[in-house]
This record gives sequence, structure tokens and C-alpha cells, in this order.
Amino acid sequence: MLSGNLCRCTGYHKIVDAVIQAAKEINSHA
Amino acid sequence: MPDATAAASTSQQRKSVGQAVPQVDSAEKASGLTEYLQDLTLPGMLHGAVARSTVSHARIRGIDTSRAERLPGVRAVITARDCPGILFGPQKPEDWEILCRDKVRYIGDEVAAVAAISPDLAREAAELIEIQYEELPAVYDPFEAMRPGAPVVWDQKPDNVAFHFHIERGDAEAAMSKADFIFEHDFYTGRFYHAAMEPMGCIVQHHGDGSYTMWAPTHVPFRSRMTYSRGLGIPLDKIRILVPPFGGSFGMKYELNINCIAALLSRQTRRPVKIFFDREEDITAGHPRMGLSFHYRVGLTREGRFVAKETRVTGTGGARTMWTPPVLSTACYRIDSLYHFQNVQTEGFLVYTNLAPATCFRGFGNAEALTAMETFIDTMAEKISISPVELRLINGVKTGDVSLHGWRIASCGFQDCLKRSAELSHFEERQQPPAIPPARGKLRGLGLAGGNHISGNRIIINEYDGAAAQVRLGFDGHLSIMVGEPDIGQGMNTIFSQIAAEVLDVDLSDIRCLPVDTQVSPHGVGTLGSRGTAVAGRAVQLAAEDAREKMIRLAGVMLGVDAAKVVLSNGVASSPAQPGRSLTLAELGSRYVTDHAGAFLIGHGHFAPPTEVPDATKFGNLSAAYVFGAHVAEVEVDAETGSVRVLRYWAVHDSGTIINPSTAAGQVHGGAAQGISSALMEEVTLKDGRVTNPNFLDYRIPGFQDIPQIHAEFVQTNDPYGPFGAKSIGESSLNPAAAAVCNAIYNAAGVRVSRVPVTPERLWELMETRRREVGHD
Repeated sequence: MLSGNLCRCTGYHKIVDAVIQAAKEINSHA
Repeated sequence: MPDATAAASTSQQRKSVGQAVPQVDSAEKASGLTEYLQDLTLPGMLHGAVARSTVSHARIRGIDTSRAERLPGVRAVITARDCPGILFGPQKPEDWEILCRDKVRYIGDEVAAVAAISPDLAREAAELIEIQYEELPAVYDPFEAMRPGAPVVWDQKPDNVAFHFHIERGDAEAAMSKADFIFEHDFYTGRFYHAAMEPMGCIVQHHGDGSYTMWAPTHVPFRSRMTYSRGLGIPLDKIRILVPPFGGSFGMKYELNINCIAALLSRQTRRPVKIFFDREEDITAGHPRMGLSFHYRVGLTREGRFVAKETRVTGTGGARTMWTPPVLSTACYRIDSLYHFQNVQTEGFLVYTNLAPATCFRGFGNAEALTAMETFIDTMAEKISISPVELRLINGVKTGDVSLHGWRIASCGFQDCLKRSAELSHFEERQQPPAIPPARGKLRGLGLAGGNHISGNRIIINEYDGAAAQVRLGFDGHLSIMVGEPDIGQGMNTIFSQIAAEVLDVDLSDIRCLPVDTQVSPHGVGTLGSRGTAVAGRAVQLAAEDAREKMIRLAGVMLGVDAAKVVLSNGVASSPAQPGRSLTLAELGSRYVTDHAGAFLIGHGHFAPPTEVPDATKFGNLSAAYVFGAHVAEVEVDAETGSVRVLRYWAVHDSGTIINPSTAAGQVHGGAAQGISSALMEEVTLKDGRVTNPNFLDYRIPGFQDIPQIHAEFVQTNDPYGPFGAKSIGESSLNPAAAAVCNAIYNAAGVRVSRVPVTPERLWELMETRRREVGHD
């Protein structure tokens, strides 16, 4: 589960952005 | 100076600078392929562990290492007897011992060390070392430590004041006597742990010729080498430092005694030795941001102009001196270059206590000072009925200003940051704070705070300021960048690559930044003082320009045309005078190497910014460039429990031209998150000198649910000295955050906080006290 992970650099923004982008890209290939 | 419109039009013609490209190593990092220190293993490598003091203050009466030595798998046990016995350190006073000789001065002080065949065995052996103590009274509070008769941590400093800072400009007392209003403010910022995901560590290998190689994630490899060579009593060139990729630092990985301990263990065993902290050791024996107490007294005119400021700052340095003296100085006076206080009188005290030595943290004392001053400014604004934005606009610095201490502000977007952050958040439409905090319900409020920072700092190495770089064209056409400023995880290598790619008009994939190696890299000041982009980046730009000129000259010869007729574009050299012929980077690189008996084409660049060594009164332009920002936080306070959530957040920064909008925004997100957390969540708590929250269950850092959406925006100025007009962002991103949150808490709940972190208990108590006071009226 992603929400259980700690990150000290990103403020979690880029992680959320990356997940959303990856989801979009994966779904567009489906 | 070019205005913002001109800057915008040139940026449209740029191919690399200004582009939101992913960090050059992001795929490697995201897929787990980056080799951090913990991934490195050398043949025959042993593991080191440190036996630490279990008491706060004591004379060492004896050390029995026999049980540790008998443990199978242990290869060496060392104590002070095996050390050169030199007092050394990165700053004055020099009070480091590699291992304690006569006294221990804090719980966690380094008394003995072990090398063994596994980390677990090394730790077990360290625990078997028996230390006999004659306990002494200890002191933990800096104000108590300064009182006559207090326990003395170091005999050389009987008053426990490790360092005293004084700065005075104008006549604060006289100006204060003429002020229409005088206000006072006290604030305390707590001990704050860096919590880098990768704890501290090093690998050191002793060689047969008496030299050492150290694999050490450090902001300051060249300064570290100087410090360690003094401590080990060996010449500078006997130490080579290689900087592996960082798993975060935020200021904690500067110069660490474990490098010297590992060096001695390696010398004794003739094997490489790794020391790597676990989380508990990183928190308890590591080096947090120091606790700082501020006392301010400010005089204003009726119109809201500051006329005088008196400041007293007291820092809990701990038992030894790391980078705390310059942190304390910064906390004392950097703010004088954000607002025109006109007359200042400032005293700072760095105090020895029986606590783990503190060190620098992103923001370097200025974040703490801004937390204190920016909450004070809100109080003053309310008392004289001026909008908090207006009071800051009246007194804030502008482009072209010279501050009291001679800092020349060549570009400044502070006013725009304030206005834009207020506009984005509808700050001026916020509700009045409640006169009494209601007993129940969710209370919302908005808070604003400003901030400044430097981009480089003249006095990190006294001999010189600036940075040097080399851009090297390889045999196969690849370009390598060498600087003395390591990428500390924030993406410096991406910025350097984008700058070189812009100058040379080549693809980013043709460029690589080499890891910093003190044997071959330029002698760098290091990645600190927010100097990476503005200072080292400028050196990279100049080196790339030099390489470009040399490549064009070579292409002219190869094409048989005048160099002035050569065009270097998209990684290809060609000339309108020779249509149909072109040269790739590989053709240029291999030709240069073969023509020069193996020598590479190297572009050299060095940038010495227009800074000055401050005079005896500390007057002098300190930094290559100055940066500014303003943050607004919207919080929700639970009136019943005192817990605070940040709901929305806006951060507007002036960092000059933005080289990479994506990584710059990333710095703002991370900085704001850390600042929010410093305001609400994090403090290293102590009882009788012992850390009571030495793990991530008890020392909570923010998770996904604790950080709101952060809107990051930049007002673009064009700095005359930075590369392509760029300035810094790494530290200024954190600086205003804690004060913005505190000011929002006041707006929501009607109570002023005077220390961070604002834990639910503390806020609940403040609200209860307020309710009772008003109830009694």
C-alpha cells in the first residue's frame, strides 16, 4: 500500500503525479 | 538589467534551459538500480560499530574491551589510545576527538569502536565494551548552562558559551526611543531531525602507502578532507573522498566523525570498513537542527516603518561543535537583508550542553529566524492595524537595494511573491480570528509568511568564493561534466546537464555528470548555502562555453573553413561555406584525442561571484544572488483536540530564471512539506539528556495524508550573475513554511503560538488558557 510509505524529498506530490500518469499510460495501452 | 518580459522572450528560444525534463537519473532511481552507500561492498570489507556513552556527563575511569575482543568475528577494538589525540573539527572551537579521551559529554558520545565480520557482530561487540564512569552533573538547557556555577562541558569555555555573535549597525537604542510603537516577541524552534531515508554512513579503506579512500555521501567533500586530515594527523593528499549517490541529507551529511573512526579501524585491520547507522543511532547520536530561542524587540513608526530591531538568539549547540557557529550567525542577521530594520543591535550565543551535537539543516538558521520574525510581524501588523501583507511590503527589500550589512540585492521579486501568494489564496478576504476559541468545531484560517535566502555564501571557505567546472568531450563524442559540488539528491546533475546542453546545443543524453572525486574533480566549496545552481551552475555554463569555442575551432580546421563560419547545432558541426559536410560529436572527439596524443578536449570554467569577505563589523556583500518567497497556508484546527490539518497551500518564489520547472516545483513541494512538519509534528524529545522518540513510530514524519496539495509558482526575475539569470530554491522553499502555518493557526483559533512544533497538546492548552482568561474577565 502506497500510503504506508515514507518520503522525505517530494512532499508526496511527484509520487501521486507519477501514479496518475502511469495509470493513464497503462490504461491507454489496454 | 533585462526585465521579466525580455527574460520570457529569450526563454522561448531556449531548447533545454526552462524545460521540465525528468531528472537525469530518475529512471535508475525509480527502478531501484542506483547504488547507494548501503549497496556498496568491497572485497574483505568489515563492519564497524561505535560503543557510545550511556550517561550524559562523566569522567572515564576505565574501559574494558576484553569481552568484545574475545567475541569470534571481531577483528579490531579501538579506544582513545589508538587515536592521534588531536582536537579538531569543522568549525571553531575545535572540540572533536575521534574517540573520547577523558570525559563523555552526552548520551551517545563515541568512546570505543569495533570492526567485525558482520554489522550484527560489530554491534554486539560494541555492547560488550564496559566503560566505568565517574558521573558529573549535567546541563541540558542553554540558559541554565550560561548561569554561574553550572556544570562545565568544556574547561576551555567555563561559561559554556562556545561561540558569541555580535552585530550592530546604526544606533538601535536611539532609534527605539523615537519609535511610535515598540513590541517584543519570544519564540522557540525545537530540535528537528533531518530524517533522510538513508541514515549516515561511510566506507573507508586504508592503503599500503598510508593513504585512505573514503566513500562518503557529503555535501562538502573538499572541506571534509581538510577536517579528517587534521584529525588523523596526515597530509591532505593522503585522503581521497568519493561521493556516492545520496539517499537524502537536508544538511546532516557534512563532516562526520565516523569517517575518522572507520579510517582507524581500517588501518588497524588492513581491510575496508563500513559504518552505517541504524535509525535509532541516526536519531540519538546523529546531529539534529539545534533548538533556537529568539527574543526580538522592534520599534516602528505610526506608518508601519521599522526603525530599530534588537535581537538575542540562544542556540542549544550540544556537547561538540559541528556547523552550528555559522548557523547561529545566520539566525542572527540574515533577516536584516529581507526587511529594512534601519538600526540593529544583535547578540547570539551558541551554548554547550550535554546533548548530542547539533548541526545545520536546510534553511541554516534562517528558517528558524523567519519562523520567529514572520509570526512577530503578524502580531505587530494586527496591533497597529495594518494588513500583514502591507507591513511586509512597506519594509521589504527591492531590486537594487543594499542591505544594512552591505548585501547587494541585484534582483528581487519579494514584493511580487507577497502580492501573488495573497492573490492566489484570497488572503485579504479572510475572516477575523475568533475572540475566544469555541469549545467545539473545526476552525479555519489563512496565514501568510515571507522569506529570503542566499545563493552562495562568501565565507564558507575564507580563501575564495565561487566554483570551477570542466566539460570534457570524450573519444566517442560523449560529454562529461566535472564539478566539486555533489548532487545531494536534489537534482543538481540534471541542472548542470541542462545548462551545458543549452550552451552546446546537444541532447541531454550526450551529457553525463561524473561523481565528485577529490582526486580529480575541481576543488569545490561544496553543495551548501544554496549555491549549486547559481554558483556551480554558472561555472558549468562558462566551461561549456569554453568547450564550445574549442569544438568550433576544431571543426573549422576539419571542415577547412574559418571558425567564425562554423555552426554547432543539434550536436552537429557544419558550415554554410561547406554545404553537405558535417561533423558529429564523436568525429570531433576522436579527432581531438588522436591529434593530441590522447588528451581530451576540455572546456574550463570558473565563476567568482562579486562577493566580499565581510570586514570586522561583518559588512560586505555575502552572496552571488538573493532569493525570496512567500507562502500562504490554510489550516483547520480542531477546537476540541487542538490538532491541526493543513488543507491548502500556496508557495510563490523568486528564484530567478527557472532552469527546470519540474525539479524546482519538486523542491518547493518537499521544502514546504518539511516546513509544515517542523511547525506541527516533529521534535526530538528529551528526558535527562536521553532521546525519548528514537524511531519512526515515536518520531513521526509526515505521510501522504499529512501534506496538502501545494500550489507552487514562480515570479521570474532575471539575475545578472546566475546562469541564464537563475538563482537558488533548495532552502528558500522551506523558509517561510512554519511561520505561514503558525499565522494560519492564529487566524483560525485566535491564539498565538510561541514555539514549534505546535503539537495538539500545546495548542489545546493555549486555547484552554485563552478560554479561561476571557471567561474570568
